[in-house]
Amino acid sequence: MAIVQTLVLIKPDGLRKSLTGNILTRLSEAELEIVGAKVVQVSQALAEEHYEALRDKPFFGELIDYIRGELHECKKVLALVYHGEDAIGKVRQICGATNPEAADPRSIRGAYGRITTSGVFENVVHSSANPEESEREIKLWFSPEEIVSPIFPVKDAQISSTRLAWA
Amino acid sequence: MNERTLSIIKPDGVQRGLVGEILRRLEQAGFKLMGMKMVWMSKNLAEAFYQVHQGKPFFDGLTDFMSSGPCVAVVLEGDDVIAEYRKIMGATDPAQAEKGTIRQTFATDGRKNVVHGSDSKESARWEIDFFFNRLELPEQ
Repeated sequence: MAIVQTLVLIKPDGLRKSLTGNILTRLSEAELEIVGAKVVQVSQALAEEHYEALRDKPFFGELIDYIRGELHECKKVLALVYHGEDAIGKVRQICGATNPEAADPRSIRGAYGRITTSGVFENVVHSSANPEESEREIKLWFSPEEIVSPIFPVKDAQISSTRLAWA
Repeated sequence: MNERTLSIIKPDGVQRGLVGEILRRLEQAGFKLMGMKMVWMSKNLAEAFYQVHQGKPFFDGLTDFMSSGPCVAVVLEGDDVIAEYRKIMGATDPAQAEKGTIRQTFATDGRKNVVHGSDSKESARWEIDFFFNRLELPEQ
């Protein structure tokens, strides 16, 4: 199995319910390495780019509100990058199916997720679906210096800036 | 009184896969996780963080250890969190730490003792500012 990396988001309901420790403990059973972690306040632009592929779905707006914490009075997400053999498959297995009611009850979503009366899947976590998505998502959420081991090639970027000077 | 403190899960805690278990204990105590980041400190950065201990016999070993692998820095908020977190963490030397504390349970010795915690309001403020900027600490 290939060494890969995957993005995990603990969504606002997970933080609000103080579940991050429980969730990370379950994920630690996969014996993967955590190479990046941070708490993020999700902007509208970041949320829309993250869920870009679902832009045309009728539930898109709710999805954005959910990840931005509008439904939970907790405007925070914990983003993590896991690295190791078959990281995507292992994490998906521990997270369970997207629909919390269809998820294995011993999985994270089965144990902690719920469907609201208005039909939103509050499934506590996000995990990348495949290698292409994981690379896109990790690069969206993290900058190279926030990842502690070299998982993707990097280059020096020139930052041009202007400042006031005496004329 | 609501206050903040800095917790660091040290390289031994991260390497041994204890991040989840430690966060679980902190959340169970009712603390809120206001910010978190994974950092691999250089020797220089570790020396800057522990500058108050400069010149002490353990300084070099401590900063070598703290720069030996990635750490997870966490900003906790809660009632009397500086003192409360220190209770949960336990004494520096695991042999002296109270039963059931993080260090009594997981620490191997006085250096590889899994976690760090600020010891006062002043050091908490200084230590949080050392690792986090305003944007990295969302208010709500």
